[in-house]
Amino acid sequence: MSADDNRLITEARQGNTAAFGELVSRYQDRLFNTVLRLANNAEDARDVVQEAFLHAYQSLHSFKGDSLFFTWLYRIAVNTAISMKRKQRPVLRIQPSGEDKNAIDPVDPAEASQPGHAIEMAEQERRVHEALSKLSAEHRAVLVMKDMEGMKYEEMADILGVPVGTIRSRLHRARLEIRDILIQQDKREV
Amino acid sequence: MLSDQVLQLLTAFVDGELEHRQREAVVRLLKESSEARDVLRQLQENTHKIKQLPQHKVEPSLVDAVLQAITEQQVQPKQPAPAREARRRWLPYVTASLAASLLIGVIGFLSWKALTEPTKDDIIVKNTQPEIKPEPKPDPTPSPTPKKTNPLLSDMIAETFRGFGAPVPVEKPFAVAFHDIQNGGAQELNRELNRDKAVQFDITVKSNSDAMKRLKDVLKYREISLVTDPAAEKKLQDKNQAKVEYLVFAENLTPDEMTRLMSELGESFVVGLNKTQRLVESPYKNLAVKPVAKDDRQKVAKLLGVEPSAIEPKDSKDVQPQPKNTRQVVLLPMNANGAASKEVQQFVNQRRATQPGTIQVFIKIRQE
Repeated sequence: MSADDNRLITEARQGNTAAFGELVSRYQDRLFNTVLRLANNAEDARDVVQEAFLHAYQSLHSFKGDSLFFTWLYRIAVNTAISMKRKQRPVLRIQPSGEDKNAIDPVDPAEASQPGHAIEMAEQERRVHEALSKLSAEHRAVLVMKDMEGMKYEEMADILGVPVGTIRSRLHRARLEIRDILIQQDKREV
Repeated sequence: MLSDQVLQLLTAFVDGELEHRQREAVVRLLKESSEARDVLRQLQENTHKIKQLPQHKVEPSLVDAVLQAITEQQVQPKQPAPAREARRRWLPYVTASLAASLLIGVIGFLSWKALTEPTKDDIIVKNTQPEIKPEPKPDPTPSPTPKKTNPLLSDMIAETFRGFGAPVPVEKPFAVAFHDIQNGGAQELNRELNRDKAVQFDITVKSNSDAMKRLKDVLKYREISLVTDPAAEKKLQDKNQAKVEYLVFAENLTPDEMTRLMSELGESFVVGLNKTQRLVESPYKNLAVKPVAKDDRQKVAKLLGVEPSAIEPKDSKDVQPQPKNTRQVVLLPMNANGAASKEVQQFVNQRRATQPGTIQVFIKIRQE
């Protein structure tokens, strides 16, 4: 854990909310990007990340410093997102032709100014996001943790609280499943 | 149609989580099966698509929302349970010491009273002497109004209790297995190498002689010459070479270059020609990165035959960039005695000024 995180955690434990605010500012984007791929939309992802930070603040005493603060936060957020997904009933979303209030803004305005590239990127993201959303919460989580965060099986097992063998088999199933979904998407769109 | 077992191997191959033998089996399979190649390509493409998902910023920032929720819900960080236990553990001692103080007070008072109790003689004297008022009797019951405590002391005590149960963070040396450097470890290693201007690597290898051969090849590929001390050369031929610890002194390499070198050392490599070609597992096993201690610098300086200050990395201004093909590192046995060899002296004389953005690395290599 970085010395700076350590100092902020100590101050937050003493009730200094500004110090905790600094930690939120530091990690919100990284956490949001993972949760965004686990949740259905940006609004749900915001809720999950906010909830994770509140839970983390209340449980700061249980953070022992034997893992990175981010890993600890990540564990809270991913498990919150998975349990939220489990509780949610499948919803048929009808996208209005107009503006979607939950739509994700392009990252880089410079890229967005190149219409061809921006459209292509947005389309690619939509397809992958749609394919991910068809997976179970557990399968989606392992794919995101492995491919977006580059985690090892052991780290993922630690975060999700399951054996390494389970991670291996979930990833195996998830990779084959998303491959089939993307192939179907291609056929449909052709 | 590929079996589930084969598909499992392919997905784990994409994850970079296969043992060396399994990786070799996959490589063989890929040579033989076009179907396996197709599946692997699809899996890799999909992984790439997920990796390429754009990163978004949380807008508006969650800081205000979280802090507002903390205030509105009056959320407080809970006090650590071990601290409460610790406080209770003190209670019997505090009670006992209060009781003991009280007892001493009572005994003292009674003794004093016995000594000052007027005897018959005293009464006679008393009549002639001014009245001596006894000191006020100590009140054995605690005062109902709370005693004001020193706020500084209260804070110190609170801080002491707060510390219970939370281990003091100890910075562990960064350690990674060589085969993991390519699977996410490179980034962490690189981050570690950007922290200091000089670091020490403690490396374990399967075989000293194989490790040195591989090191020479990898360095050559990077256009870096390996100057070998004759004593090291001799020890590598020796029967007891396994027990020898070696030092590689490297400098003027960027953290990126050093990370790449370590990554390449950990890779399996092909030996032989045409039909005799085979894949050989890297002899490099584990790597730990530590800061350079004063003793280490002194020892390395002694091996190179220079003063420790001569190998301190310096912030030099207006340094001429060093041509890549002139860079060299030196290999010595750690237990070398006596004066530095001619080769080492030559290496020392040809050393260049510290290049900006580069690091110095003491690489200690020993066989497992």
